[in-house]
Amino acid sequence: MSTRPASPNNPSDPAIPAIPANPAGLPRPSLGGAKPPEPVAVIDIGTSAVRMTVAEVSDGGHLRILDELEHPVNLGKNTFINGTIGREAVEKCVEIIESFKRAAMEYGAAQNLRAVATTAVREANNRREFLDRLFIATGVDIQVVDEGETTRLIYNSIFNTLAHKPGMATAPVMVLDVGAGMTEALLLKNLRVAGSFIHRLGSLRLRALLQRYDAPIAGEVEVLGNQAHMMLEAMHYAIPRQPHLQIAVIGGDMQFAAARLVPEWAPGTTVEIPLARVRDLAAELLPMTVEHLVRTFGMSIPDAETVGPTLEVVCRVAESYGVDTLTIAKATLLGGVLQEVAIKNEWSQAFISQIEEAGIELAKKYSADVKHGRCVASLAERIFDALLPQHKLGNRERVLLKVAGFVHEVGLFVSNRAHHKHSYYLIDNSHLFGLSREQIRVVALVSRYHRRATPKTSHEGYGSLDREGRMLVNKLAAIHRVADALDRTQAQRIRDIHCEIDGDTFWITASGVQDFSVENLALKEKGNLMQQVYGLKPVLRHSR
Amino acid sequence: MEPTTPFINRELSWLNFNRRVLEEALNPLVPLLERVKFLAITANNLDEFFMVRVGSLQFLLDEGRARPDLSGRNPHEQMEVVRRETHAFMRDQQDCYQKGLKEALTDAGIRLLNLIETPPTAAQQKHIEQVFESEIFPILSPMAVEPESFPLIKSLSLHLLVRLSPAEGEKMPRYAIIPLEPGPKRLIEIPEPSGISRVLIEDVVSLLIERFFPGQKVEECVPFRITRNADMSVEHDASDLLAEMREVLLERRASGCVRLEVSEGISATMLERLCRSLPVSEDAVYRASGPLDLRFLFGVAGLHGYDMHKNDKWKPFPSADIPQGESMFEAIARRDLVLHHPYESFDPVVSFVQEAAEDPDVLAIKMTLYRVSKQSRIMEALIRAAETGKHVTAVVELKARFDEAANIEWARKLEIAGVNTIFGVRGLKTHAKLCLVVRREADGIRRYMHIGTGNYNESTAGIYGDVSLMTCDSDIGADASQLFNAITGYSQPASYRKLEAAPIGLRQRLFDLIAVETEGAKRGEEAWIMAKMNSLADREIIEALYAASNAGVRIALNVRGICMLRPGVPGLSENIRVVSIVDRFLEHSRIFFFNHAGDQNLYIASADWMGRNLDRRVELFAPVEDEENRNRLAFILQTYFKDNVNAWEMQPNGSYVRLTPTGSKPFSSQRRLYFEAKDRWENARAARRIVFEPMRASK
Repeated sequence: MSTRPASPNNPSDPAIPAIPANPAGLPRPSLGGAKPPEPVAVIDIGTSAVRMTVAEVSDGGHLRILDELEHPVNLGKNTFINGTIGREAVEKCVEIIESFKRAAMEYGAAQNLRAVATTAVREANNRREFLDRLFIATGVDIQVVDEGETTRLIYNSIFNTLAHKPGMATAPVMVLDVGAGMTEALLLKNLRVAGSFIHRLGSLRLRALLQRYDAPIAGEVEVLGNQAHMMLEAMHYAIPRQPHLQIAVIGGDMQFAAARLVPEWAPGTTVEIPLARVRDLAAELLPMTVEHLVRTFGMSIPDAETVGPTLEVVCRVAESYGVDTLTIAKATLLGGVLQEVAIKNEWSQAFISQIEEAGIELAKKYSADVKHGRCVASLAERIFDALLPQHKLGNRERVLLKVAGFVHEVGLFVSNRAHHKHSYYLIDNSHLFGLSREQIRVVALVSRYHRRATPKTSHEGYGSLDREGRMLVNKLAAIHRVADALDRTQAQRIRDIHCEIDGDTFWITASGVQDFSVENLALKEKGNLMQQVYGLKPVLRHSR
Repeated sequence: MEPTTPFINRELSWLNFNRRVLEEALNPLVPLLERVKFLAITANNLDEFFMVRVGSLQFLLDEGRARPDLSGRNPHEQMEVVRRETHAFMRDQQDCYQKGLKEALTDAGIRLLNLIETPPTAAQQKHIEQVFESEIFPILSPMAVEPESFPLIKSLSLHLLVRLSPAEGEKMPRYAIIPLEPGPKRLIEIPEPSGISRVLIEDVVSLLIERFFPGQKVEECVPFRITRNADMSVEHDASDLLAEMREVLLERRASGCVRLEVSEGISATMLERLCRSLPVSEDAVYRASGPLDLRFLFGVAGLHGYDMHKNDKWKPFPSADIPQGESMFEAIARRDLVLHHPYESFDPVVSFVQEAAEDPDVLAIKMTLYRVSKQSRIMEALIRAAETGKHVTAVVELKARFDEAANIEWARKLEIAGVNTIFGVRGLKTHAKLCLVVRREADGIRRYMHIGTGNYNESTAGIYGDVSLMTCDSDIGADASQLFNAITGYSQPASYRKLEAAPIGLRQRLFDLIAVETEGAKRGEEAWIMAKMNSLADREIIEALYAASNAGVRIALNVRGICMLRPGVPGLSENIRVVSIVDRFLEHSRIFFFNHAGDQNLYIASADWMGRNLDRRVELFAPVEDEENRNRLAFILQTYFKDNVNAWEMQPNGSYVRLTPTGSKPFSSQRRLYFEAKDRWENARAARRIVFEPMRASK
């Protein structure tokens, strides 16, 4: 028989990478040898479609895709043009989620159903009403992921594809996703994140813009060009031009392009296509009306609305970086979420170190004292572990605390007066790879509270958190302040500590330093929050 | 039928098929009661032809359409030629019955008396009167025909039109109609010393007609039957398909009359009254020299006994690949199964659904249902599965022609049981035969599929030649899920890994497969297509086959019914051969072979190569990958082309010539395939060692 295309059920298929290894050996509940694989389902409410993937997670976190469902619904058009998701679209989503839920039940996956929503829902003015309606009607709780999380999930999804692609594991690779609402780019060097970029320019926004201008075809290209140009300036700042750069483009529109340009291409696999051919296809598609595209290619209306502008933006990005060949790869948000579900939402050590590196990069960007940052982060981690029974926080929170250690002094870049407040807004408005907007805010607030006033609900950012969020900031800031006090000299005199709780005293034992008076003074000043939060008075002592 | 265009007219091609069936009724080599059955089949076929095809032509004429068909005839010309052919055909049916079969039946001891031609003896008369008084008279009710109105006449039912003498003081005759259906059975038995004679109910009622009209004079009594146009369907955007379908069924009851059958002795007055009232045109009147509605011969063919006048019984064999007592899941997991029905039993398919319904590890069952038997173990199993909490989805096609009412009833029962019941897809008929079972196993979810060329109909599975593929291939499983996701509206249609489905990708896939052969032939490679189907009536596919033939591809087609392709025309189709098999089993399977540069790809499908199948239906096209199964299907396909007993070879002008075993041994394909299944079973049985399993006393 003829050779069959690789399939998602084939573990050697590069389109569905195996779960990244868990090099840190983080504890993970064992599925047990005899336990059958667990069915899971993930729903993605996107800008142009609602999708669901049903998969099985076997012992060791391997994924096997069982079913992939997709229903076009133009939420992006609702949000980007009207600002809100219309009633009809809301009810359509209810209907789709209901049927998806039923499909998940047919695989026994309803208990492990996770649903996420992206830009179109995130930016909708009636986002809360939309989420409430869906929850009331379907019982499905939808998590809205922000840009940062999207980047992380895409990285999860594409990691193994690139790792197995000769030449890409070592070369600088830009992973480019021109979505309906956003353009996102991730620079990878040796498969580690070396830069990222997010811009609110997407194909559907562009299409909406073109319609608003009602420009003739020639004008459309000009409008597109202007928009892309503005984006590219910012993009080049975040991801500078560099030799040997390769671009891996993802997204449904690019999959369509691959199918058109490479007839023998097997869907889901990676393929290289000369930029000139993509450029020709963009030139062919852009002038076509949506109706013409639907009729000619049998695509859904939401897909038809985005394909032309997407290809145009991709071409302009590639041209601006001097790249003449595009690698089209399959990576999806759903794939990323599934990978997370498969590893029980644990972050791998490789992933954690990338987040930490992003923190250090941010510290460097604002000329902060990196040595001091590393020292505070390390001391804070020790204290965090010693207080585990008290705070009952997990691995992710430990990472946030460490990142706060790296970046807490970036505010000095602005001024040394009230620099903790400058740190807050600089961090809060930065992009830290792998962290969600909410998590970045926690890092910003923990940094803000490294000195002076303790948290108050009147403080900007802190007051907007829910109770759980405020508790988290309090717990982490209390630790962070103590750790910062221990390196008050910024000379890393104290590097190794042993912590012990005895009654209401939190004993910190250190060695190698004769005189702890500076640190003790700092502890007196900063230890108040630990007393408030944990009921423990931090006391520094010499080791015997 | 002179070859004027490269295409044969579809209606004439169909009529030609029915004529091949009639030839079996005339064939002295065929056992008598089988011949009788073939004649009844032609009558049944023709009824459907009038309802649908003549009905469709009538609509075109009513709408004033003048566009010619592929054979170059406009609707008016088509209707003219169809009328001419059907008049001749129905005369031939009567000749077959009266000049051949009736006498042969008498010789065989099955006497069918004509009470009008031969008055009954006193003893016969006495028995007839007894039956009339006890079983007929209480049931039948004459309906008065008013001068300005006419009762609603049911399509395909036999009626008597009665003319009574004018009432006192009146000049105009009076009319009454007696519907004979629903009513007593058509054949009434008269016990006699020498055996049993049978008479038709219309003759009995005509003989004693005056008892319905005491004190009045019956001047004439004639049976008649009408056929109404049934070529109507629901609006595509009907919001409530179930309600709309019921409307269509009601609408059909009063739709236009496309045929009026009457006894040839009818008076001009009576005929004029009928034609005016129905109304019906003169060319739609079919005069029969014998009994109307020859479907009563099904009853004669099915009489108990008379085994010497029937085919020897071919009981279906169990599949050689399914050891007795083994679970269907185990058998399928071991290797893909191909079943060739009815030579091999349909029971494994039923067992598959039954086991799925009972198995606690089965999470979901999904199934398409097009034509289902009245008593269905499959449906019972689906209902049981739903009642015990499994996720059961049934796609019941409400638009399945002439099974609409039965399917509405099944859909209702399934819904009550908690089955997620889908009434097909808007604008399309779901004709694919697919059952998907999702089962939780130790190493994860596994999907088991049955894909068939025939319906999930346990009755027709015993007489239709069809193929089943049962597999748990993961790619086909993913495709099956995709197809159900699309049909049930869970997801938009997506591309498939191994399967192909109409209406989205199948047409293109066929073009691609044919093109691969065409290009291969151009390069001088061996290029070869074998295909078996019920009908070939798609312009583009035929043109692709002509192009392939011209490139040197050898094409062997086994098309049972309509074939609009002209084979063997120099410069057009000289490499194409078309045969049609008409034998005891209805050839219904769709099997396709493409040489594909030596890969020898084999597929089965639910679809014929017709526009309606490729563009307006949900159909399935599945590869058969297991080597043994592929060899077997290739053998089955090839076997048909060796037939010289029940095979007809199509000629360039569209006519058919029966192949005869001149100079060679007679070879019947169906007989060969029966023995192939028998040998497989017997070899498998011999290969399995008998192991005694001692039954021990419990401790």
